[in-house]
Amino acid sequence: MFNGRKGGSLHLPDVETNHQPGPYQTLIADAKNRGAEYSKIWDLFAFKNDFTIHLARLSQGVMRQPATISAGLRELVAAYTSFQNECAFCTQAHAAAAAALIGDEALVWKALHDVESAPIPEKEKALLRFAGRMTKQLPAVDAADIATLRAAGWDDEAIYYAITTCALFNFYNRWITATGVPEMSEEAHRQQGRMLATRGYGRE
Amino acid sequence: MRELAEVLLRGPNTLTSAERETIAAFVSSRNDCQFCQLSHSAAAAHHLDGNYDIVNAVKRDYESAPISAKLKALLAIAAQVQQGGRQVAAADVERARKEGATDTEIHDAVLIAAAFCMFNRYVDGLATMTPTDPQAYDAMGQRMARQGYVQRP
Repeated sequence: MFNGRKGGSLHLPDVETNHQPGPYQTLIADAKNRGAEYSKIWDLFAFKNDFTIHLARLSQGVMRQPATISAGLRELVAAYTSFQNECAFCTQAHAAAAAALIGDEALVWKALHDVESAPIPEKEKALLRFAGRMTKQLPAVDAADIATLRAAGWDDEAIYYAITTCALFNFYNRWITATGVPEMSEEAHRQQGRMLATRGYGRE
Repeated sequence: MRELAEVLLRGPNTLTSAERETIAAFVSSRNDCQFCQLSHSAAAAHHLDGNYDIVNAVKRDYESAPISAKLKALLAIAAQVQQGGRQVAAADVERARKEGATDTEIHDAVLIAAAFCMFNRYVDGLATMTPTDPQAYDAMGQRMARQGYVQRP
């Protein structure tokens, strides 16, 4: 995999240290008290509460609203989009969440590294190829891409969630890499992935 | 997503709404998202009494546009974010600081640029019915500049 940042501070010190009162400030303080490794994305969430309260709600809806595409597959789309954008933090975080929901960590990483040879159904490969095109070749995406997804067996509801998941992670990946959120240890990512799988994205 | 746009583009901020709409229009233009780039160009213009010259100059070549050195530096960061967050180099951040941008302003420029990489994909992905009549965008931008993104009672 491409290299992520291993530890270290955010590129914007005033953002890292300026926590507004709220759920993320509490999470960070709790983790620090326990001496536990914590996800520096929480520093970003704690910095601009009036934005991130809506972002958390949007993320919960996009990733967990019951639909004809499972939460596990949406997490796989999120991880794949993040892998394409070389966001090491998001790739690890959402690969871990996908693995917790799907129950097969090795399978998730095979799909990320090479969709074509991964032992997943053709229907799911079509979904990941589409996320790759949305991420890398946005202006070229057209009705033919949607027709391909329909032919692979996806209904419009599933396609809607695939588009919104991919769009959402094209946001997160840029925000996180540009501000310098470092990767955590593999074990910390697994633990956070289980949290995402069971609790979701809301913190209210 | 409307609430996100409202906070990003109209919430309290040391960057003006015109500057923030200009960043939004610029990134959308680089993403080749016609709906977003035309509507946010119009919003930027209507924050400046309907003057399109500045936002049009920014989209053509922001380094030579009649805008502040600080906004140029923030647009340079936005351009990198559009390509990918990893493209933002320490030198880009240093340039923005040198031109007087605070960490908060740099962060917010990153946030707007990243958010439009989402909005653009949402709009293009869902193949929104794109009006072809330029007049439609002017009316839309006027509404965005005056009333914002969230329906008020």
